[in-house]
Amino acid sequence: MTRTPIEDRLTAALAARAEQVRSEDLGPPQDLSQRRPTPAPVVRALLAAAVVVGIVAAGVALWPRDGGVDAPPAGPTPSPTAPASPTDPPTDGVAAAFGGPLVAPGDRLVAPVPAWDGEITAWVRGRELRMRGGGWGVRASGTQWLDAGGRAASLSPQVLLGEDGSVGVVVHLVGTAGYELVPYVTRIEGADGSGGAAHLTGAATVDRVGGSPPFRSGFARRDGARHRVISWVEGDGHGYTVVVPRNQTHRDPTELAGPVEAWRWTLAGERLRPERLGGMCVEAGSLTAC
Amino acid sequence: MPRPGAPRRDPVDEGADGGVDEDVARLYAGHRLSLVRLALLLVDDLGVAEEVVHDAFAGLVARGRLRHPAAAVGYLRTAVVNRSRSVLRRRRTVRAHGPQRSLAPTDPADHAVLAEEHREVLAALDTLAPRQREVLVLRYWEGLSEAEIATTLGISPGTVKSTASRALRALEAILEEQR
Repeated sequence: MTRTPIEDRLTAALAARAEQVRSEDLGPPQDLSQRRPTPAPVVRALLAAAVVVGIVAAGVALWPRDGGVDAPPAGPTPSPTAPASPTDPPTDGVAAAFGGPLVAPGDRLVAPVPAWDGEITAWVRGRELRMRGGGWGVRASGTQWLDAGGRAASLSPQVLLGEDGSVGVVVHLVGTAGYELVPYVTRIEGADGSGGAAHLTGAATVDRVGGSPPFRSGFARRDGARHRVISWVEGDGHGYTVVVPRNQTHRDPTELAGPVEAWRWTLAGERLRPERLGGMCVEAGSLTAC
Repeated sequence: MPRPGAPRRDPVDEGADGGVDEDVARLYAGHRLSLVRLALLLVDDLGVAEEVVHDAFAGLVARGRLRHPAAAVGYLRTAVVNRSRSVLRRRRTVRAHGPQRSLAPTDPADHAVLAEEHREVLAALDTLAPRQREVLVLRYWEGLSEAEIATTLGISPGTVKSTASRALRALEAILEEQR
């Protein structure tokens, strides 16, 4: 059957986008048996009955009594540096209470670090952000949230792991002021490389990591070939992405040099609109005309 | 082939032990990538696409031992489409109740390296109604027939045909407008 031009264009575009993902780009296979199987009908009925009984019992226990003394809340005592619960997250001010950045500016965060897998929950600007890192820790996905400033975090914050066990969370933010990459540095307990769930104990913000502007390094595919790309934000509020030339292996924009393929990102409505920039070079971490 | 629009033959034995049997492991190894790509075209975010696919497989495992492995691929495809639709619905809710300007949750870098003509088409596709987008992706990426799309989406072949036709016209109009 003959296809129309629009069908051909659509087929080609879908193929180009889908084939940007190769099997090696996926996270490690996950344990499918971790989810509890759906209970059989009889078990479901018993569980439902147990829930009803539990609700009634809790109601009785919590009913106010005259002259009573409140018992301490059940469960573990929250750590003074950890948020008490997801509904009581730290705000920016709380970050200061952690004693400043857990990884100071100048400390080097490296990514990827092998053998990390788990879920971390970060509270960024008062909002919960859950991320599940996989394998090399270069990719994570999170719950979308919006902050009071009208910015939205992308669904793909990047987790950077420090050699000292610290974790850097780079969140992509977009707002009326433009595109912004914000690094949040956190620390997780038990990040010994053995995997397993991690427990966040604090959060802090740093402006620059390792002397570099906040940037994101990753990979993207074009026509099947894998390219390293680096994105960062310039002082003009625009986001920039460059494709690292084949003859260079840098992951840091300050280490790049010479002509690059480059794009500028501008917020247009709900989308970031890319604009291809011709004849650009990178010099000292900034784009300049060659 | 099952009757389009009819309930799909249940590929699992409900009430079985729920462990990951060899058939599911084979399905996971053989179809994970293609399902992630399908989800990616629907939700446009690799991390979310991986989670959607993982949840679809986990849902299959939770339901019991595979009885009809051949039917499981269709079941998984439907699960991926449905879960992707839920993701998009959640996103729309967030946008409706949050600030007007919010993020299209894509990885800018991935889009940057795509050719200009592909980016235009994908951006136009993103503006279509979810059902239209699903039909076009299943037709032009998965290569499914109208009957197979009907089974996947639980609608009639006639609806698939009319939806695809309207969606293509809308896509063409958007691209024409951009010139």
